[in-house]
Amino acid sequence: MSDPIRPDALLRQARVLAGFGAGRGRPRTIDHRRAVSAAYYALYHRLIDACLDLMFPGTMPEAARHAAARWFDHADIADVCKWVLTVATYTQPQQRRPPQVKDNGVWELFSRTVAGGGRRSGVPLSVHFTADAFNTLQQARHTADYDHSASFPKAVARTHVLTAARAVKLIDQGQDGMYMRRFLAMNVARSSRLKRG
Amino acid sequence: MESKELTEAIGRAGTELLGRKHFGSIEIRQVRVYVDAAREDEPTLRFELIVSSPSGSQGAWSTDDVFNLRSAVWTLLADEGIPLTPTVDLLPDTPETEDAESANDDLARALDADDRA
Repeated sequence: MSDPIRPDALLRQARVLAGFGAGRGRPRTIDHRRAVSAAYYALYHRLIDACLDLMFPGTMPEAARHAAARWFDHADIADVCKWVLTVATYTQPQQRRPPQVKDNGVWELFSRTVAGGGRRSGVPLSVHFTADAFNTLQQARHTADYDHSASFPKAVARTHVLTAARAVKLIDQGQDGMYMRRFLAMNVARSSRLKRG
Repeated sequence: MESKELTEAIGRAGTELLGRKHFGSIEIRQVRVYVDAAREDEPTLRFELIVSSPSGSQGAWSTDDVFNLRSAVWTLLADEGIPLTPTVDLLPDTPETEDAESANDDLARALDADDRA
């Protein structure tokens, strides 16, 4: 019997480790580090779940779904998030794709035409927040797990946990469906690979 | 972008950020900027912001305020034409002084309760 990694369980663990509901005082900072790590993995696995739902609508055998989940890669998702975040900075009309934006379709997918001419960012809040949360949490998790000199006060750990919870909720709600699907599709295209057995 | 030009642009972005001071309930008190070259192919610009401690009952900053703050940093860099990806870390300017051991008892109880649930 399998014991799948559930984003909601990871978020619950992150909340406990960050001391939500624990009353006065604070857990040891090692717990804050683990809270940040759990929060990141909650979002990572939720994002992959959403990508799998896009790729394989309907039911599929659990073992097949779990195998497909391994096609995804942390760095690849971070790349897609960064591309989207770069587009999001262009809130003023641009006559052509800005040089900072990758020439891989992200500009066409995430910008919209403006009445007076040109295009500007069309990244909706749900996608913008999710992409920002993913990259921020990934960097924080890396620091939490490897950087001995880093500081993880309670406020920092808790903010990361709340950020992950909100991003997971945004994916759950499927707001801005068309743009969220484009974001997920880019992740599928970027991440999907079949390793040699 | 030349090194000197880049340094000046980063300085302007940091000053601009400090000048805005408030992002919702977050007050920026100090800005430190580092170039993080851990990934040689893609160095990042790390903004370490010393900010007011969170005041709400959650003991955390508003996720909206933090998101807006991070977005402002991305936009500032884009406006300055700085070709580096930013990361933004917040640190409260008030040290935590509460007792750690008693809280760990709370944590142990919370974990036990979670296991039983």
